Amino acid sequence: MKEKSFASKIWNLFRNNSVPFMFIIICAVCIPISGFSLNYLLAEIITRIARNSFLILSLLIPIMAGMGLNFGMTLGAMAGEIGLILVSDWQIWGIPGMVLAMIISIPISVLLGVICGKIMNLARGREMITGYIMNYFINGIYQLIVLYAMGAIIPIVHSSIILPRGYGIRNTVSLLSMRQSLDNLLAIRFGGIKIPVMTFAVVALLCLFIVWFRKTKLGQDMRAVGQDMEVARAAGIDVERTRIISIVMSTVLAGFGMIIYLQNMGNLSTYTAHSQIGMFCIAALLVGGASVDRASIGNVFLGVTLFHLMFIVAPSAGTVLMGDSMIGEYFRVFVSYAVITFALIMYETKKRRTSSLAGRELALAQKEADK
Amino acid sequence: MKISKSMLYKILTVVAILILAAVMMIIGRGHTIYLDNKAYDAQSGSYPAYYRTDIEVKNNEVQKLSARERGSATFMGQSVKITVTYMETKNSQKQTETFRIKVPYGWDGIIINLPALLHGEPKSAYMSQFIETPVEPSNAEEVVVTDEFVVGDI
Repeated sequence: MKEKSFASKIWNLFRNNSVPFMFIIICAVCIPISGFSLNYLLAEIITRIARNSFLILSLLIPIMAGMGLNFGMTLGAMAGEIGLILVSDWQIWGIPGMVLAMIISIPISVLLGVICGKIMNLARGREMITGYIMNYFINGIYQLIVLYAMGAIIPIVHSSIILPRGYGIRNTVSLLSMRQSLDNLLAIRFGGIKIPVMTFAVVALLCLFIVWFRKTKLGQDMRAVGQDMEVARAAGIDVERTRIISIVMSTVLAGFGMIIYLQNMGNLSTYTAHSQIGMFCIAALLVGGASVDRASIGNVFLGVTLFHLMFIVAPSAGTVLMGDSMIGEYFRVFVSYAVITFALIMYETKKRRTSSLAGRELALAQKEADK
Repeated sequence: MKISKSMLYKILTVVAILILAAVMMIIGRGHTIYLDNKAYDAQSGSYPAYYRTDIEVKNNEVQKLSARERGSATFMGQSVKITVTYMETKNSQKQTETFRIKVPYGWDGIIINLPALLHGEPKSAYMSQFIETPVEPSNAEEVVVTDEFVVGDI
């Protein structure tokens, strides 16, 4: 009996964490095939954890408020990019440039977050698809501003940023003046691996903020709203306002995260940098074992490690196995979409199973009451 | 009109953020400084270029400049400390002088004429704005570093 219970525990553990286990197996198979040294993999993983964690952490608050995976985080990424374009034109370099870009992104993120939150309140129960479509809508406005208003209405003076026709931003904006300025601040080298201490400190600060925020009145309200909106409303919580705040917070943090991400890259692809960021952050979070209604800080770090490990080794493994690195490249992109689809199916199945179980229990209770 | 405590906190936060932004704009303003070791002619006199100069900008060695050469460095902020170690002629003694120069906020590039600076000429004489020559747009493709998030062309 005891053995059976142990076996069922193992089975449950595997079933509840099937995605991380699947990725651990993929990585375990691909790492030896890829032929990368442990040192190289470690250096790459540390860089990618520092680069992506902040963005992925920004997804936690809407999940807490029961709004699912915030595909609308892309809006924050766009706000961060606008901040970086302006700062690059004003020639504000280094950490001050990053801070100023963050400050510029705040009002834009708040505005976009409020719009997104209000629309999501109207489309309750379908927040994820609404957020996803919102990206395309706001992306159109972003492109209108960046392609036509900047230079014509919003003053942009530097020829390295503006298109030769006199308005619109070039395809790529160089961020060399602030490239890795946060990563290099207090960075230490350990066995040839660079550890960006300050970036990790900023990420740690956000983790602490999230832990603290969960315990605040607003955090508790968000959790209550996430568990049951009607009960939360009955308890006197302004559900709509709480949900909007969660989206605004996520959008603002995503804007900051995008700035941290781009300072690491050292350049900004004006029209495409944000397009896939939401998708890949969400995929990384799901790989870490999160679901649509449950995510933790641990899921973020496990996810970013496994997901990016797969990203690093897949092309080389593809080259060794199939003689073509594109196979590996397709594989990792395919896996990213697949993991999101898988997580959504799992969530829906679980939800239906729970409601059907509740229905059966209710029917049984009624039957017994009739007797 | 009475302002509530929470409204006061909100106003103070906004003011603090605006002050922070203003500070960042000042301390983070980047400039490129071009240091010319070239002869300088003015009404007050004519100064030849130095035989050799070693220049440090904000404690970072920039270049060793011979006569008629130009060096450059980048820095953030509104003032820059320049240390020049120079030899007037091949056989003369090395001398060192340090200057703290305030630069105009709106100038991206600043040209400093070293002979004029070292001979104590006024700021308007040794400092001028570097204006970039407009470059014809290149049709060459830009190399973009990505995070491998997009599948490339086949």
